[in-house]
Amino acid sequence: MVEVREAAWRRRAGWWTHNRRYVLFMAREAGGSLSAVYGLILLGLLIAFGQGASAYGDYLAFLQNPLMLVVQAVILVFVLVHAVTWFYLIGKSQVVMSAYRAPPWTRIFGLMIVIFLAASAGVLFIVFGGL
Amino acid sequence: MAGEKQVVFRVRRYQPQGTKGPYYQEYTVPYRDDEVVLDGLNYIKDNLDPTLTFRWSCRMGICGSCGMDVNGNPKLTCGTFIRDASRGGVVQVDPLTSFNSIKDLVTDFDPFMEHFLHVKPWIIRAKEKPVSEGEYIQYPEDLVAFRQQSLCINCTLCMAACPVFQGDNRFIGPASLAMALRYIRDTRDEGAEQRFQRISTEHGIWECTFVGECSVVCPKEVDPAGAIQTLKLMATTRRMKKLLMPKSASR
Repeated sequence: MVEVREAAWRRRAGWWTHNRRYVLFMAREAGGSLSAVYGLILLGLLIAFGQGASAYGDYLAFLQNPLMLVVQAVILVFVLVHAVTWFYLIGKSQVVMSAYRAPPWTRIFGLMIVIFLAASAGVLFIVFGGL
Repeated sequence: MAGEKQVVFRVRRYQPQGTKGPYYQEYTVPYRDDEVVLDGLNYIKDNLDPTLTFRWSCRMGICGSCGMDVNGNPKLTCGTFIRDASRGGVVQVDPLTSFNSIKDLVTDFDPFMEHFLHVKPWIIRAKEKPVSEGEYIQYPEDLVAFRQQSLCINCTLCMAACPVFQGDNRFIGPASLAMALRYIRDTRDEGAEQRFQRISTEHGIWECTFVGECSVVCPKEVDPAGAIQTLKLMATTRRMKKLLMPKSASR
């Protein structure tokens, strides 16, 4: 009996950088984590609000310093990537809703984008529109 | 292969009886626009180097044998034109990602086969009826429910493309999970409970992070990613039914 020696396969470091879709996947996962970070930032805002006008003003000033603005801009980009790539995948998982006649992913994707924009416009109106 | 154009095939070689590890060897191959990467490999074997070893059989995208990494992407080499694969006059061919190489481009499929058998890819009946009672009737609309998954040719390109399987080959993987759905949805089958016990686990459907690359590389449009999400929903529904209505969760 001859022993078979195989060349073991090893995944290279940075494997996800060689494929655009892997990069988007990693960005989507990072976006999920960063959205949790932004949740903590908002939680801090709520805590400061509960501590009075002075603490709230200080926290707002902290959020407006250049470093925090950059951090929030980066989070926004990653969360947008997370949302859009997830909408793209919903067309695939939508199969579970209609086993025998799956709607085309483009229709699901378009619908999700419309809902996303409408919800965002609604939030912007509530925050800045004077409701 | 009597074309005028030429391309360099950069092929990863490995001889188990040799003293050195895997290495790349280059071959200059003439080609025509209607020739595929598998034609190039066969040209090398027939004319340049008979020691080059690779799997192939049907040459028409049915047998699933000729899957390899072409320029780093899992492909059926019988369905990949040289003219499309050439990058600056070079086509790089590697054994399929995720699997160990036995010799040159031939990989060890045992990890896949073990998972494949675990999902019991055959019709399971609680009690077989006698042949004298006739066949199990199935209507065209019943077939529609699992036809897409039944198109799988076990080429394992989806396994090679799956980052989860690349990182941990205990993951059952997209090919076997798509096949599990194929049988679970078959109206003649009564083995759903057995399969869910195996696939609704840490290394089963719940390990899938929905990268979706398996469905991108699938040459038969089986959509394993969609199949796994379907299985997740079915497993959750069954679990809830067991909790709320324990007597009605047989399928």
